[in-house]
Amino acid sequence: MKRIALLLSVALALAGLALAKKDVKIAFIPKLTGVGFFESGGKGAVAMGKMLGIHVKYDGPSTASVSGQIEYINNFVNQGYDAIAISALSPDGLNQALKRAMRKGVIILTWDSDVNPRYRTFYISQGTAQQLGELLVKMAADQMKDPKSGKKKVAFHYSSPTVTDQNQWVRVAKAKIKKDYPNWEIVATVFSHEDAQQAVQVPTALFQAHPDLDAVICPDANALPGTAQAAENLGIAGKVIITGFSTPNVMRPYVKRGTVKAFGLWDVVKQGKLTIYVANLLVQGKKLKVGDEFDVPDVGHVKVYPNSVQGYTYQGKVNNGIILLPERVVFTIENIDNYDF
Amino acid sequence: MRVSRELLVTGLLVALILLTALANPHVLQFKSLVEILNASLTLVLITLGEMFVILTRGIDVSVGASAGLAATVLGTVLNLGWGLPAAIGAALATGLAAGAVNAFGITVLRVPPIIMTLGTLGIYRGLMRIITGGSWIENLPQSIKAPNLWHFLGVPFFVWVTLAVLLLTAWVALRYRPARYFYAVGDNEAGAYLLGLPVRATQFLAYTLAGLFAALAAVVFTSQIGFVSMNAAEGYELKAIAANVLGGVSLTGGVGTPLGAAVGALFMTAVHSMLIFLGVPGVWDNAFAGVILLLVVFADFRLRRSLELRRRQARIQGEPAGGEAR
Repeated sequence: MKRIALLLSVALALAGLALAKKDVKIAFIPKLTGVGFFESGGKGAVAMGKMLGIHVKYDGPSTASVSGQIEYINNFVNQGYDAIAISALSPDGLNQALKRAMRKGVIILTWDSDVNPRYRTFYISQGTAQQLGELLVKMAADQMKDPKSGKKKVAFHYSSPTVTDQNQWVRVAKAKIKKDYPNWEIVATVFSHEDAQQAVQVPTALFQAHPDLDAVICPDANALPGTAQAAENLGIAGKVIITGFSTPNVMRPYVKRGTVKAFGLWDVVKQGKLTIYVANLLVQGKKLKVGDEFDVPDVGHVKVYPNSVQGYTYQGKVNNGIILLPERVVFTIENIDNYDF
Repeated sequence: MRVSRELLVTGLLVALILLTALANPHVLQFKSLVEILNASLTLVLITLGEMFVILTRGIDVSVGASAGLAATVLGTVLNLGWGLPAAIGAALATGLAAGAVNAFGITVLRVPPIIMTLGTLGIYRGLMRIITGGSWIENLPQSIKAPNLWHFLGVPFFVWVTLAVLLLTAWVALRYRPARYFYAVGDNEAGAYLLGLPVRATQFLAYTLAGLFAALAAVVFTSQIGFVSMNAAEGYELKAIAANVLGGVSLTGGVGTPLGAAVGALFMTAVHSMLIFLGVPGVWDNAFAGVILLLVVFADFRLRRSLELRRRQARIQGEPAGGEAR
């Protein structure tokens, strides 16, 4: 009896410790620093940290390198961080580092770009590949007078064939085109490797090689402004549909000049906030199951989805799944000034 | 009999364009060709700067970062409300300073060039992030983008500027005596010293020029792109070195011309456009560019070797040499 009481009191004390856990430290790692998109996610993460009264550190490699991300993961683990949220550069390359971190009791989340679901708790997703891929096609189709008839020529332009998320979106978009718009011909898929100069050169050649192009779909932060710039340089701005994903601050001048009528993204500031909110819940010992719903200040109502929405087969019982951002945004000249990232 | 590397690469470039035209005649339009030129300007300018360094048998892997830093300064002061001439002046001064720091470290402190410039590569990229707080520079005033839209005889303003810079450099390298110091120092440093040439000053000038040319490239780049990302001109140091080698500038110093370097850079840029005109899947891009670089260098090596052999043969048989010695 005494022993049970003792055990109980120890357990209670531990639980109390867990609940009252102060000095929570959470690391928020981007693919690379110095890109507006990730910096804004970092700002959201740090802001949520302030709101919750916990310590949030935004830092990561300055070039997109998997080994750089591993170094940051190891460093944060060694410094005793409670949780690490990362936008992964590789779906499998971080596995060993993440495994080691989890063994040491660090809670792992991913945001923006996922890893194998065995090596993280939750993926804070901007939307499923299905949602985003279809959004790409919808934005292009909505700008055509008669998208379902007549021959249409479209092209894709993004960073490189090795970037997981962009590839998934484009695969979905191509499937959607095949199914719903069989009259669209995909004449080319070109890459600019996150190099701003190539992001202008490549679509310039594309426009000249295919003068009758109807639309270019660019789900990449360099590719979209680069394509818009190329169209302006060639004097064909407004005559060809240019859409895709990029940040509002980069695209604002092109939208104001009418070169780009509509493009999409999600509110990455909110994504940063949501990520830190969930990370803090887990550090405080909360158990989340698939189907759970909760409200997040500044972000909205969210729900825990199974990994299968992203096409995975692995599914842990608790604290494993995908949490989607409530909404994605299509920016136009009407709403672009409401966003600053 | 002697085929200069400039001619070889130019010939290959023309062949590549004609071959592409068989598949997609749009490439032969005047506008298409002009845009390829236009796209190559950044690399041409950085390559020209790097050429001075390689001529002296040095290496500068910080030129991409110097260009990025100069572009960052340009964008930042423009957004602070500076006028265009003052902002361009600030960018060029930044490039000069970045080059001079390398020059000081290498010629005065005697740090090996690869180490010194690898160090400043990190420092300059770091400074870019410190200046901007890590974000891209966006919403640049239209004044910086305007020159990119000026045309003369259907050719963009910056193509003329770069051509003028190139011709001036070529003329100086050929006709201005002290310009030969770059070659002398690279060919035989000790010999040049014994001849009384200002070896250290020549090397100092080479690295400073590399910085200045990188800044010129940054101005063109910023005007053409209209925004400055934190990885602006990343990796251009290696492209510039490759373009130099392709254009016949020897990594062992003392050999090469500005025209060769420029043609090398043009070729490296044109390959990317050609692949799109050809409709080659983008996945092949980098691999294809690498293969072409190796092919050209290898073909050139074989060509020179066979000429050399023939010359020796001729010498043995006591006849006058068939090829002109270099």
